[in-house]
Amino acid sequence: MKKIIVFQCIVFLLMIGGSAFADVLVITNKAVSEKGLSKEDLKGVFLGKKKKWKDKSKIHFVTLKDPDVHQTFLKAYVKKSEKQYANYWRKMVFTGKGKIPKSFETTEELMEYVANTPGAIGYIDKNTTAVNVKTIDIQ
Amino acid sequence: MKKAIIITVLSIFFSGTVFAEFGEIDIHGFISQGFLQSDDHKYLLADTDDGTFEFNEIGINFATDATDNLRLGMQIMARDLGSVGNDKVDIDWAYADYRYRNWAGLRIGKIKKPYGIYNQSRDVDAARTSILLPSCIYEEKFREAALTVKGASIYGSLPGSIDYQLMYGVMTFPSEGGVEQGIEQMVPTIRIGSIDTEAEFNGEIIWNTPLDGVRIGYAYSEFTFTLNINESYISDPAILAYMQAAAEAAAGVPAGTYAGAFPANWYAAAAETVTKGDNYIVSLEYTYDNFLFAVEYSSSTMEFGGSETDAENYYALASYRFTDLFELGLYYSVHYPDKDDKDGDRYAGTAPKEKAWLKDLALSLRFDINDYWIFKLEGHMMDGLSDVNYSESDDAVDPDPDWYMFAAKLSYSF
Repeated sequence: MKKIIVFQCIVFLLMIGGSAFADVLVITNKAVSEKGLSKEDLKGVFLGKKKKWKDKSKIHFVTLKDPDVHQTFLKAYVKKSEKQYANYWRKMVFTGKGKIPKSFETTEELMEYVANTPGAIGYIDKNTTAVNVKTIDIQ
Repeated sequence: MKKAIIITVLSIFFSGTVFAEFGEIDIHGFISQGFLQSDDHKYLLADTDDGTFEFNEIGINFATDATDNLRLGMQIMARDLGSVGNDKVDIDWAYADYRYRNWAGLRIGKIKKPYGIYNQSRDVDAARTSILLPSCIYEEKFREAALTVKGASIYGSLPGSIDYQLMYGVMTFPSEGGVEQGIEQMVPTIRIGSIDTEAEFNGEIIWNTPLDGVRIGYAYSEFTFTLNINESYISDPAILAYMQAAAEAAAGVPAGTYAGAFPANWYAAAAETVTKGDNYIVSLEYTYDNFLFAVEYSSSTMEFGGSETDAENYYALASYRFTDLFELGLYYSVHYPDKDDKDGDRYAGTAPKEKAWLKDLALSLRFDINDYWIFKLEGHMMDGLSDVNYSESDDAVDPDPDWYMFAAKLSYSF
């Protein structure tokens, strides 16, 4: 009985953790074949470590300048603060390992880019309606 | 310095992204000016006891995605730290980066060397809280030996959040650079004409653990280089006194026995000395929100002049960002050039025992004025004389092992 209670508590806690991540939706271009990504892979995308989809096409990831949505996404999936993320990409640029991620002022601009760029991935606030893009699950 | 100014002007005009015939070129750069002041002794091959502004860096880099898999880039840089660098413009890094798969990529060219979790970004002032990284592992004097390799590297991200880099190539040491001057400071009886290097292996593996914010790293490197020592005439009274004391200690005779045996214009013959070594670094970093904590430990072995020495170094640092403007950092760094003699017994009669260690407690304040400008202030409380030049200190015979250094730095990056 004790084991069942402990298990249910763990499931409950995991569900709470999962619902916290639902404050943002991860979106991709419709041509991306993946229906979902692991949290590890999503973090790797936005840190420039995972560069290719399963079909070996290039990943183009983009960020939003809206500080609330950006910080929510970073905290939930990349595990960095906004300053730490900015400093991380400064390191990447000045060591030749990457370029500053493309960033958009508005959700509409970000969705238009993702919709029109094969291999693109971004994020939007959960209350925004996804237009011409698909949302993927993060496990 | 003229070349450095030209780079600065060009960087201001060409900052950002330009489109050329062969694609989008990203251009970024930085410029920083610092100040160092110690209350006694000279440190980092600079006249810190007089206060010095010989502490600056200027750099500009160009990079482009030639194809979806191939990125080309280079960074030109000029730096000055005391007598090293002197704003001489050099290629900091330049390589082609082909990413075959997520788990495998290839870099060829002049590549930043993996040596601890902060080595590859040690010139990126904006990437950290402190002005100076813990010197026990990120020694500024021997920066050239730790920074880049001309060769090739394979790298990638493996399942399980493991990042790896394996590199093979040669180090390059500029003439009159930090390595030459640093060795001459440690062994004042020699004058180095040049250093010939051999290809070396470096590797690093970093595990981004399942614990949020925790990553663990292990780096290993080995090196072989030949010091081509010039014949020279030594007339410096301090060096001649050092040679006499060392000879008396080696022979076990009372001080003064060899008076007159080392006259002015003492002749030192030319020689070649092969130096070999290897080292490993174990790292742990934890980040949570605006808090960062890191510890690193390194052990190295060096064969020089027929003798072998094992050094031991470690530090712990923590930083916290209070606001968008202000971040505070603290670290404690410990360096033992010979881990089998942490008390300095071997220096008895020839040098202060405190040459056997250098312990550094540093407090750093970082102010992010905006997205481009950063200002830092830093204080160091030092205990020890390892890698410290006390020959012109207030008391060169019995130098004070407890001393302080203040640093300030303003940097702009785009």
